Amino acid sequence: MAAREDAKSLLSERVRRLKGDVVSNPQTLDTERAKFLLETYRETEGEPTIVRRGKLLEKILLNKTIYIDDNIFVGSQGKERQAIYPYPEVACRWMRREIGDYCGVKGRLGGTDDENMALLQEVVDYWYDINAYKRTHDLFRETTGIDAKRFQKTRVWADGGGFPQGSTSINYGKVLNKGLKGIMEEIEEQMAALPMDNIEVINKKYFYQSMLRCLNAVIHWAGRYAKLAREMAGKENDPARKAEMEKIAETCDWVPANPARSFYEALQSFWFIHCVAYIETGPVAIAPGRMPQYLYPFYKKDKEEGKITEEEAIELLEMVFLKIVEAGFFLGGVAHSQSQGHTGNIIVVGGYTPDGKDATNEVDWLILEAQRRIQLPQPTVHMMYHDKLSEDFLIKGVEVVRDTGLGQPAFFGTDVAMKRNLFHYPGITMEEARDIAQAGCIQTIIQGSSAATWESSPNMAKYVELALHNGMDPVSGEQLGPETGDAEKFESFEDLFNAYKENISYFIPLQRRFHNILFAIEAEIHPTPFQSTVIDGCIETGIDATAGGTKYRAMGSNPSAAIDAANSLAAIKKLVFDDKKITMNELKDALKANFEGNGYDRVMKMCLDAPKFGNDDPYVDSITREIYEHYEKVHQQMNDWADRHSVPHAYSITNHFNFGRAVGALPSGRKAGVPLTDATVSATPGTDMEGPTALAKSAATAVDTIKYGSNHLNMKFHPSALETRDGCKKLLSLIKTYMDLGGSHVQFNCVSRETLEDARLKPDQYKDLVVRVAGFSAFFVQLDEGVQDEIIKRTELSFE
Amino acid sequence: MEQVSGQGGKSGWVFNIQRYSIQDGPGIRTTVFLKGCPLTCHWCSNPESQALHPELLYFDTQCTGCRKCLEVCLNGATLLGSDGEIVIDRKLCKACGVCVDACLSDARIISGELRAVDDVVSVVEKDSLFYRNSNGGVTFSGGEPTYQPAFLLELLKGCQGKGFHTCLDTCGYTQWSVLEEILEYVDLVLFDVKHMDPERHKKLTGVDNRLILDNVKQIVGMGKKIIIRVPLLPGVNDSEGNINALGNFTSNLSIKRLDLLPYHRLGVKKYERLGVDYKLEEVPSFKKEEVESVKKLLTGFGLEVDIV
Ligand code: SF4
Ligand code: SF4
Repeated sequence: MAAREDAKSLLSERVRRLKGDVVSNPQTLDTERAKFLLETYRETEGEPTIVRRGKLLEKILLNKTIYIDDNIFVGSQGKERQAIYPYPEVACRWMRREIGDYCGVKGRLGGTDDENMALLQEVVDYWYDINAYKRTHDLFRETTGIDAKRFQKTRVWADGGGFPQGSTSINYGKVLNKGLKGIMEEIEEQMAALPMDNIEVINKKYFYQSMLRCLNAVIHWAGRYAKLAREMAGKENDPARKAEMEKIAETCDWVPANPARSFYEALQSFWFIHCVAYIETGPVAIAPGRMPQYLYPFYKKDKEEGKITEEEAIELLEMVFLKIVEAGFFLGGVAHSQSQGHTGNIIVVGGYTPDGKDATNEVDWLILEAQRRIQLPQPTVHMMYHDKLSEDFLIKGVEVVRDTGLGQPAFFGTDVAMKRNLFHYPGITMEEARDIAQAGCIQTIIQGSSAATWESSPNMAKYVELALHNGMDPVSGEQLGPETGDAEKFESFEDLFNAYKENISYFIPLQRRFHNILFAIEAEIHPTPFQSTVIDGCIETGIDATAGGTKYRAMGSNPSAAIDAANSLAAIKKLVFDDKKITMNELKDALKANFEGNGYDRVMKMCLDAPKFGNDDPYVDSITREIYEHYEKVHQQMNDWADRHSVPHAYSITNHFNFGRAVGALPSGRKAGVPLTDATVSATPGTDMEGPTALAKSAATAVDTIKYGSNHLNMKFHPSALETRDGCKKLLSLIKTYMDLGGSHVQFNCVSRETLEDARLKPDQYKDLVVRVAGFSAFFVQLDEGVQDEIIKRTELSFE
Repeated sequence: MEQVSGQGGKSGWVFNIQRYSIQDGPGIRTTVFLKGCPLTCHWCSNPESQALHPELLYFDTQCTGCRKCLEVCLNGATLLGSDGEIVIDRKLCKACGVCVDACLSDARIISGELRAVDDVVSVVEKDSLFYRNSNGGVTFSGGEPTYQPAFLLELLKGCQGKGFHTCLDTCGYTQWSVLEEILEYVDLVLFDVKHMDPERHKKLTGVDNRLILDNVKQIVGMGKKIIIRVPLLPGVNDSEGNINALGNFTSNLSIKRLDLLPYHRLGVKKYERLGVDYKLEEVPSFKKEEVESVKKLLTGFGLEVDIV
């Protein structure tokens, strides 16, 4: 089976060429915005921040270099394809520190020539002492007496500062249907209705004026593309291309100012808005969301009038996807290793209509097919699973998983997300609660009206080390946590677990304080007047999105490596307290020695053989649950910076790598420096020996998915399991059961040839990898070389 | 056939319980593999299932040569070979498992464990929601599950009592009176037919096929659902003559479904681990077209044929 290749071969020549360009060229540093930032701030000294931010966006849109390339859609963040902006006002000290190590989404950046670097340094100088991140650290130190950098450095947590955060869901449907002019009328009405009697009202007036300035600038910006297209049309000899340029010109004159009139205009309008949001805050986690819902009326109309074919629509979607993948944000090597620069462009298919019916329409299918063919890492496609989805649509989803090997679509439980919305937002309507999208990685949000600010990731494995050493970090030698007593003197497992929980109780409120300061300062330094025009709630309240003006908000932190903690605690419970095979002292000595020498390999084996999460074993699953329960309780004791209730999350980004480097040997049997467990309810690689149903059951019970805003399960699958229709259906039964059990997210990473080759080199990490060949399931690492070869060859066939 | 389970069927020898088993009957299933088999098929992909008693498996690919096993074996069953490699004297090994605990590299495991009926049923029960959502259930396989009839009977009763769909994967070499009692608690039979010719059958499996084929007729006669499963071996049982005989036999009995399990060499390594000679080493793996042509031949008899 060579499905992956087959799907790619359906791409048009044009799309293939564009994709080739994006894939093979590096992202480049673009300092145009930095220049405008300096100019604006010098020109507007003394003016209110909200006005300055409006003027900044206006200056960028009116003056930035624009281009039209082979993509039918126009508009870009940078001055050339894949050019990306720094946002020094958010954080910039690292830009001085990590010179020469600048990265974008795809790793090392191009375009760092002398002229660019000189300009960048000038703007860094300007913001060096007054950027949001620096000011946050100062204020945190003043109020708590603690230097938060210690926690960042020892990797007790990874804070949510230092990069621009979007994490919002824009009401694209409103833009497509009303046009920006319609929205401007709304703003004007609100402004006219303001009484003129107090300071708050004056601030609101500034805010509304700034919003209008932004929207006017966006319309102008689109007009610049119309003009450029017309000029290019004038010089064009190829009649087809000339006609295309004229079409672009006509479209940009019309959208996003006015309501879209066709599928193509709707997509161009979407892209303009999405792109300006990128320009305003950086392309981080601004989710396209439920595209099929807001695009369908336009597609339907075109289809009925015979103006578009399915193939044409797929190609248009592919070209928008290419626009999305071109985006990136600017970060240092350190931050890059944490997030890998995932831009969080999530498109949601499936789900419910406002009245609870299956919402799937033809555009859902087209999006899946477009992704099956183009196979890009961004945007990512998520499927909102529910029992009313049709069988053929679900099978299509599984086929995309199989044919792309991208782990897409990821599957989400719509019912659990709906309950979550009802639980977290008292007063929400049923219709809104069903209108679910995702932001960031996998946080549940409400389409068009919510923000999901990412607070931080605490390192839950580090707390094990602290609990075993009376608050001292054995890696750095620093006293970081609370003094919870000598572990050697603990009389029961409960004593140890309490010491562990005390660390949660100590660090989570500290973290919250840090982030409340951070987001309050960010709201003050870089509010977002543009995004506020297109997210529900801000126009009505007259409050900027960053200051809590969106209708719904879900700020929260997401613990990493809780599974390593649970496995470690379970091993101690088993070996030290229940079976009394070793003493706490012996265990600590073995950990200190990283299980090396002195016969400690025996201790390591005991630790590895202790119960592990992911095997449907209540012995350890109950510990996992208790960790997450305690976390949730502590997390919910403090409100966010806008004094709203927060929502805890459970997804890990890629902190498990970064944190792993700073964590010593663990009682779970993991050696020092090795990556911790990915996701939040996945099993540690090589430890889920009971297969996918057992893993699904452990995962579904690990966190209360209604109280948490997300959970994150990765499962590995060999594509051969999905070769037949019967195999696909069995996977769907697995998904359904996981959702029935309360699961909220699962992603199937099909095993690639590289994975299998890696498994050969590191068999201990892949003990759980099952492959199926000709009616026979086997653990891959136990097979002999010849058979392994055969399987690798088969995998190659389906995935090259 | 001997009554082998312990304690009146309350417990028996199990060598594996596989959850999310998707090739042993409809839907998502849990397959319970019982140890022991009256046949000695040359190609068996689960050779560790043939003997009833527990056995030591040794994975040379995982062995680091640390020799810890050597020190702990009190039966002198683990020795050094002439090149300093680890050798196991199967006649001396009592499968006591002491060396398994000593080995830090997972190079040794004991296959086969005495398990209570309640214990097995409780493992099966863990995936009940998966069965419900996929029309799945439990499958008893082996070895040959009817080799421990009393234990199997109790397991089947226990599982059906919980409302689970039950499947029996059998080679059919069991006295009808024993099989009949068992079948009362079986919803679907996966029945292996290896060769239609009695002589060839005996040569390949060690036993005659008459009892087996008679049992197929009996099962059909009592109206049980049955799927015939044929492990397809190149040059062994894929001749046109044998396939035609198979087609005639099944279609005359109005059996609707037949599964083909093309031969693979995945089990080869296991023989080494057990210290048993593999007698089918020279057989090549199948080509896709060859399997397809067998399928076509069988479809001609009005059978629904799946390649598993
Ligand atoms: S199982 Fe027991 S008898 Fe056999 S080799 Fe190991 S220690 Fe020796
Ligand atoms: S103890 Fe294990 S790794 Fe060491 S020689 Fe024996 S089988 Fe090999």
